[in-house]
Amino acid sequence: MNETQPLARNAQARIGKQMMLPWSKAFEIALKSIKVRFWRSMITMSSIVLAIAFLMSIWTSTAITMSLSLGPQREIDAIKARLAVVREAIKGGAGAPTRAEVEERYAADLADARALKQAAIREKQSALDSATTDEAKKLKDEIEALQAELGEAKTLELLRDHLAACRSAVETTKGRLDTILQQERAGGETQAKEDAPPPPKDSPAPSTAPPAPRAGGIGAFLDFMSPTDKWLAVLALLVCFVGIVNAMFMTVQERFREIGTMKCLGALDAFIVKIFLIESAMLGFIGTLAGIVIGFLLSTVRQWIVYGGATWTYLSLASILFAALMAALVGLVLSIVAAIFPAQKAARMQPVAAMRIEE
Amino acid sequence: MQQNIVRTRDVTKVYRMGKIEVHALRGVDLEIRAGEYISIMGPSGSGKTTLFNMVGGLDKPTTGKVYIEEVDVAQLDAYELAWLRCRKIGYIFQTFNIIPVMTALENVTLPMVFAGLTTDEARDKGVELLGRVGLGDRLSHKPFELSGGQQQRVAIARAMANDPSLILADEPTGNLDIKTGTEIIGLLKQLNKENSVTIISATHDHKMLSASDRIVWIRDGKVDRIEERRDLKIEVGTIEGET
Repeated sequence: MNETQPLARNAQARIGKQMMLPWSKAFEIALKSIKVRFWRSMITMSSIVLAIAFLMSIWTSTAITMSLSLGPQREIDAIKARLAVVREAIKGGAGAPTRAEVEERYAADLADARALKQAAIREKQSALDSATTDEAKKLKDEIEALQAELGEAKTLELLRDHLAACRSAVETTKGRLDTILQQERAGGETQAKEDAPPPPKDSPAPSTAPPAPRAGGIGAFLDFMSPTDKWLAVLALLVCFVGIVNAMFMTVQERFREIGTMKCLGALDAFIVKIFLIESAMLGFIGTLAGIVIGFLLSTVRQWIVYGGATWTYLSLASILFAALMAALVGLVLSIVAAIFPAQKAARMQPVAAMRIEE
Repeated sequence: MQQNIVRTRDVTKVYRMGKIEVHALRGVDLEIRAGEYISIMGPSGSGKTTLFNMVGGLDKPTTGKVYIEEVDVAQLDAYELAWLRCRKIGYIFQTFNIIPVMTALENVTLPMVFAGLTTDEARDKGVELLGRVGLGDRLSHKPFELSGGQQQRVAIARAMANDPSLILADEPTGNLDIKTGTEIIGLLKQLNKENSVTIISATHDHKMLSASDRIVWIRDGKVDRIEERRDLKIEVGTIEGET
């Protein structure tokens, strides 16, 4: 044995170390294995599509509900603030804003108010043509009154009346939305706790009222999800996770010969892991995108049926993008994490596996 | 003196199945010279497959040493083993094991990619190799579009990809009919002569015997006898006469 030792040493130097392949090659192989098992891949993907669609629909409706319950109040508050300034200006006195200042600050509101008045005048003028003499006289008086209100000196009053009208309109909308929101909330809760009586609809019901608006972000967002929704979302993600793990393990089991052969041809463990992770990540990515679109569409259609046109009034694009981003993150992380154990199992497979005969 | 490409020293292998120890190999000494065509024969359960895996660097012995090109396989780490399998050894399987997601050409170029060749180099060499095994017109066929014999030809081209010094063929004719099997044996013999690549095959196929330089008979985990081909001519006759 001793005399062979130096010989072996020398020879050892001739053996190189296998290097790692670039990501692009792993990516290519992973893409091909998805293509060749297209329908099976679609089924694997469907679990993540469904889970993410569910999550996204919950988050979209949360975003819409949140905007509907907080939006009108915010608008009312804003109008009230403007109204206060205008009233102060009308009252005059020391420190009060001048008319010019107010006109400049609320130019948009003023323009709206003027447009509304002018529209009313035009309407009455067109009514003049077909009116009897008595009616015509009355209409002419009304037009004069309206035109007087449009006068330069009266802008503050015009603005005040306009803002007040706006406020009461928004308040009406808010009242209607709150009723629907409360019904929805009550409906959700009766489903969750079957025996719980629905709260009286005419009472203000402060206990079920939305929590006080606070700084936006994830916290406020999560507060708005009902406990049932949270529980269902977590459950859906868990089921999806288990589904992916199961599907990936089956794929690994099925591909023992392919994996063994690759190792015989010189693939390193890390390369096999890469292939499986990339495969799952790709499926996860596409599935997540599809899930986000489906979930968003389904949810907005439902909300639109319940709340009508108001659905869009207070909805900010940012909140929907935020929800979509979170869902995308969850979907991608989920599909990669779920593939870790199966990929490790595949990598640990011995090259001898390639020799196995049985299917 | 001719160099030994594979050398085993008193190799034993014990598998533990629950509480029972299975002695698959009980001390095998074997020397295989570069450029030889060797067949390992023996009944099922004789340790034939275990020995085959040992000399192919797919398994490590319980005791004893296996040297491939005078390198102790047990001393190699995962990266060195992968390097060895990639460049020094070509594998041919009974079930062909063409990667199903790839075309014939991609299968042949895969080991070259693992060895770090550029795509163009690999492509040129792959085309040449497939031409040599007689599949020059089937480069972009998928495995399911090829017959068993054609798949095995792709596998042979793939085994030759990095100009290995050793090809291990595990029952290469096991899933083929007699005629195709004979063609595959002929192809292996041709490569053995032209490229002086060492071929070791584990087989039941008696057609293989006439192509082999030496036949190693395994029985009960030991080398029963080693026959040279010149001693064999008569025996092939008797075998054929018996069956």
